[in-house]
Amino acid sequence: MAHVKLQNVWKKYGKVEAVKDLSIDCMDREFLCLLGPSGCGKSSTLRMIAGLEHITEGKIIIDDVVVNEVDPHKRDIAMVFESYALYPHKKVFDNMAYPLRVQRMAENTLKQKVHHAAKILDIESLLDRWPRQLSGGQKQRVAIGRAIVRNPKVFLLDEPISHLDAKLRTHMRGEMKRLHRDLEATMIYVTHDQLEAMSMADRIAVLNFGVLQQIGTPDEVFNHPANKFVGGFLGDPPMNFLQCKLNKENGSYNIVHDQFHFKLPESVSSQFSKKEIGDEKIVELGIRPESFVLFQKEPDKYDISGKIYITEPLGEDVIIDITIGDDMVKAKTVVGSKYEIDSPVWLKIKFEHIHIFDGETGQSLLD
Amino acid sequence: MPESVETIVHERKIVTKIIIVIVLAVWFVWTVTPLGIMVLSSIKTEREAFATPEIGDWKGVLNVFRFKPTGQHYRALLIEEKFGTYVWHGLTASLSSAVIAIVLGTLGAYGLSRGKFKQENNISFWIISTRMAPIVVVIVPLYYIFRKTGLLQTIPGLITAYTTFNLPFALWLIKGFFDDIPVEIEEAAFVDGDTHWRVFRKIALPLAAPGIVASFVLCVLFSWNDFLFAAVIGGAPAKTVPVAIPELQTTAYIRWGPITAATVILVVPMIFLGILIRKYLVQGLTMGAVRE
Repeated sequence: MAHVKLQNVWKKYGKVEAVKDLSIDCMDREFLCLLGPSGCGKSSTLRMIAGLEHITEGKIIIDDVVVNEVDPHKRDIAMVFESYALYPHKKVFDNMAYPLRVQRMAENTLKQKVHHAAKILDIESLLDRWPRQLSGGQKQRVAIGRAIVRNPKVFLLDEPISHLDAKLRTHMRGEMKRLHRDLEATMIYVTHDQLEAMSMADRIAVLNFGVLQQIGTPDEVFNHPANKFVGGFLGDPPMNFLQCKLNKENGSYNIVHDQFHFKLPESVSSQFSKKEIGDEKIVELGIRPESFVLFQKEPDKYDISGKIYITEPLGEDVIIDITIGDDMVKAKTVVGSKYEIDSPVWLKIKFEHIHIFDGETGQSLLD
Repeated sequence: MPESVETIVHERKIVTKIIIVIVLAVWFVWTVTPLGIMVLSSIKTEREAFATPEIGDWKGVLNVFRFKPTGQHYRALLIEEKFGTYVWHGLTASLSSAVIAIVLGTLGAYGLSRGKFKQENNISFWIISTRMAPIVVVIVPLYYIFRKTGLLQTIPGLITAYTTFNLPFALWLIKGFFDDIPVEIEEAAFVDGDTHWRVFRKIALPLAAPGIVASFVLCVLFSWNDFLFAAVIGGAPAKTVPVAIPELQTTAYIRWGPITAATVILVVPMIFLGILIRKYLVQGLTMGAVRE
């Protein structure tokens, strides 16, 4: 069990900068998710921690030892690959026994450990099979089994469940989380699926274009996104963004859009006053689909009015696409009332859940 | 109407089958008949071997199979002509050269396949380009070089000559097999705690084994069947079977019996190798380990 520290790490492939000045501190026994779209540098980061990729600049420290020049086999890490990477010429048992055979472990103890790991993952019946005889989910379990037979300092998981079918993926999310608890292990988990990150991680590090956008607990990154990218990447359907102008009037701030305008609550206004945010600033108003309250008859008080474009029922919930002038937003509500296409709709905003980002930099203007 | 459509489809299937059988039969007769006649003639006396039927005498074809087997030609070859020595020369030269080409070729192929270095493509092309020219082009300069270095008319000389041709060929062939192994499998082994050398031995080598064995067989075939190098560079002291066979054609007459027997001796080891290659060329070993 170990503490993994990345200090100002860079990865360059020729002129392409895959990872830029990345500093992450992964605590002992933490489940840390590296989350980001494909090509954001999350896999490169993981491969640098594993030692499969050379570090262009910076330091990677595992348990107070700088491992930049340490070969993978001396780092005492286990990795599960996106493609599972089972040894095709070895049976499942030998696949799982491989890391132990490398350590020249006595055959008796080895057998015990493999069976123990197989029992945890419920693959004891597969030990005598060849990798090619396994289904995707089974291969994935064997790959995890090969990682957990020994007691490595760190587990590195590169999108281990992203290729499973949806049902199995949901199941494995729970299994992985439980595994992390039972093994009391430090795990660094790479994924592009925000749902995986949200549901499993202790902390999430969101990356984009090789740059760390934000690191924090799932609650922090979801409810207090540091910038527009993080706000838009987490949540399904994603956050709605509306370009608005900020208008200062008698010490309080108003949001102005061509189709609507409203006064920001005192809690937000006071933050802006403290930051001395000026008048006429262009901002991106971020509202999650869940943060709308919909009315089909004009209420006494509302914030935005629009027209229903289309509805997407999802069983219990329904997503309603609403046009507001030239903009379109998605609102989520429970199934119940019938929403007619092209009929007007009135929206109230749950102000405690809104986000306001700088129109130019995309940085959050809220604390 | 569906029945008639079904019948047509069914009939078409039968017609296709018949055509396939006919083509295969013709091909089989075309390729196997000469071999068959050769093998039969090698265990016949020359008189029996030439007892061919008249044109149109289809019953006479049976005469081909009416004979008393004799080992006289083989005896003549092995005892009088010392063919055992030539077989020995050929096997030593071709097996040694194939071993050298495969060992160096496997290491080189792995380097080219996995390593990252400057001018990688140019180096790869240069290696295979050495195999592009026909042997005749290099035989004169090689003769000169070999005479200067004292390799002329020796078995080591022959091995060297074969290796110059086998090495680039083996390297390219094996490189393809290494390229087909997903890198993640090796990376998994690194992370599992293996050194690079052990990953090569325990993971890469076994997975590329079918390709390596196939390349080995092809290298042996090339050297064993070679005539030009053996005739020019090997000469009399390092004579191999392909060089010895034409010598059975004397000024007085052509010794057809021993020639057919010698050809059988030439072909049989390679048929065994052919069976080997068939077994090993069955791929699919890597299938299923990595998500496709």
